[in-house]
Amino acid sequence: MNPKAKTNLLFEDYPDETLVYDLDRHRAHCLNPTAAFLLREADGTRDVAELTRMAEAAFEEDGGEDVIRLGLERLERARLVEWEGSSPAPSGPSRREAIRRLATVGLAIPAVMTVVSPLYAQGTGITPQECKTLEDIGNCCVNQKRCIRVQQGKSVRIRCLGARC
Amino acid sequence: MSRHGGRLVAGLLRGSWRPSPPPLELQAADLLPLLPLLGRQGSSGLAWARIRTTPLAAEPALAPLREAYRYYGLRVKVLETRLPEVVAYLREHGAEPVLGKGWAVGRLYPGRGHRPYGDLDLWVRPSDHHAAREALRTPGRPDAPVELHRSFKQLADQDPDALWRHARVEELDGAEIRTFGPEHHLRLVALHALRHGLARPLWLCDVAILLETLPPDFDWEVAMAGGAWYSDGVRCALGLARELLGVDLEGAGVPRKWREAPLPSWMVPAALEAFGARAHYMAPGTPDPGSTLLSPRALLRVARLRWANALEATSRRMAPWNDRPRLPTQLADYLLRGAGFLGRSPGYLFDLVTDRESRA
Repeated sequence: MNPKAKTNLLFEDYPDETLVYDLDRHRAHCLNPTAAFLLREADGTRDVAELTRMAEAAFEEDGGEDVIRLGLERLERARLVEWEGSSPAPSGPSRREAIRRLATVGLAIPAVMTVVSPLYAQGTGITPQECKTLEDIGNCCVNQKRCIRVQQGKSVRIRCLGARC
Repeated sequence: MSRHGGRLVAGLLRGSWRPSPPPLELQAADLLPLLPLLGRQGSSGLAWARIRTTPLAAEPALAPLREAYRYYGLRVKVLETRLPEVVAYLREHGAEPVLGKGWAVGRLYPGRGHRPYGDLDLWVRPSDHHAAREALRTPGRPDAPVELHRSFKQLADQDPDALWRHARVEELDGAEIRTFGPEHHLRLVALHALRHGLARPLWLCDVAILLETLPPDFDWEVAMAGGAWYSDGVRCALGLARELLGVDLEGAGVPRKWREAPLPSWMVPAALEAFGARAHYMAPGTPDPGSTLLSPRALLRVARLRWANALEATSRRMAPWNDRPRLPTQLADYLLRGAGFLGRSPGYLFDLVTDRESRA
């Protein structure tokens, strides 16, 4: 059973991190280089052992399969990676124990952080769930409200007024 | 904050749109109180662009500006991915859109993170509007925030055929995207900035970058042709770009008659107050007034935010761009908008009450 990165992802690389945007779920994630490497290479044809070898070669550091498993688990939790069928059951020590042990290996522990519009980036004005057409009725919109239909005389407007989503 | 904050924001944004911004005289202590303001205004990316080559970039407390820059860049990349899909989709449905603002101006900045935008403002000729609107209502439309315009208020004095004739074709990832001609685009961007009272200083940076990247065949006679009120507004926006952001109008080739006429005395102070305003109704998360009808305190708070600054009130009421006091215009604007809201409020109230009952 091999891990496979989801399709419809958009990557933006920076020297110290990679931002990934899930075009289906409209979620942004911030990945450290190890996690970004795994996401790029997990194409469904490579197993954990092969990904481990590749990561160790790419970063010129020792890591071991535990590091790669942890990274894939984090990517899966962020819904960026899928396993055909169910993901493999964790083997070996508990996660906390594994992380403690992994702190001594060379390869950076893969980190995945979901970005929810950083406070200082609020001014994008992006509201993918806008209230514009009849199709938007019932969708969540800004301020955790819902798009609802407002009748004004003969005209109908779709407004962001409804109950909290 | 207000006018003092506005001066700091103006100083910070000066030249931030250039690949090599001018030296910065501000200190970290000056910038820290501005962070929430810059975030609300969508100016964090420009602020980062201004400080990233200075020692301030290493200041941990200013790291949120870098994060915002990256986040803006990602969101812009998403919209850049969607834009060709939307244009192709509309073409398939018999409408040829012309893009204004957003990517049309954002593409001029040195990086994607400089200038965030939230949707795709597409203009179609009146003859194409029905087809475009129906296409965008059809399930299966591209998943992108599109704002479709049959007309822009800021270009209401222009002949649609002339807008179409002057439109240019730009390339985005191999796709042809039609944008407004540079003359009309400058007009649109300048008047749009005033229309919203410069609530986002980056709109004035848009004017600045357009001025500094004018094509060699830019025709000022075309740019300034049309309604006198509109052209006067454009002249004021150019003057504000010079006064607040240090744009060299002469160097940009602005003809003397458009760059030397003095600005009304209230204009620069009003713009600085807008730059430094702590709150604005266009800020993300500000509730729609209609949604606050059942909560008097929230309604009062929102109502206070709806007081338009002098630029916005003048623009919305199409008052002359002269030296006369602005208070009567602002008052008239507030009353007229309030009356419009009262007229619509029964619909909002009905909706709120039925929505509340349906949840009970």
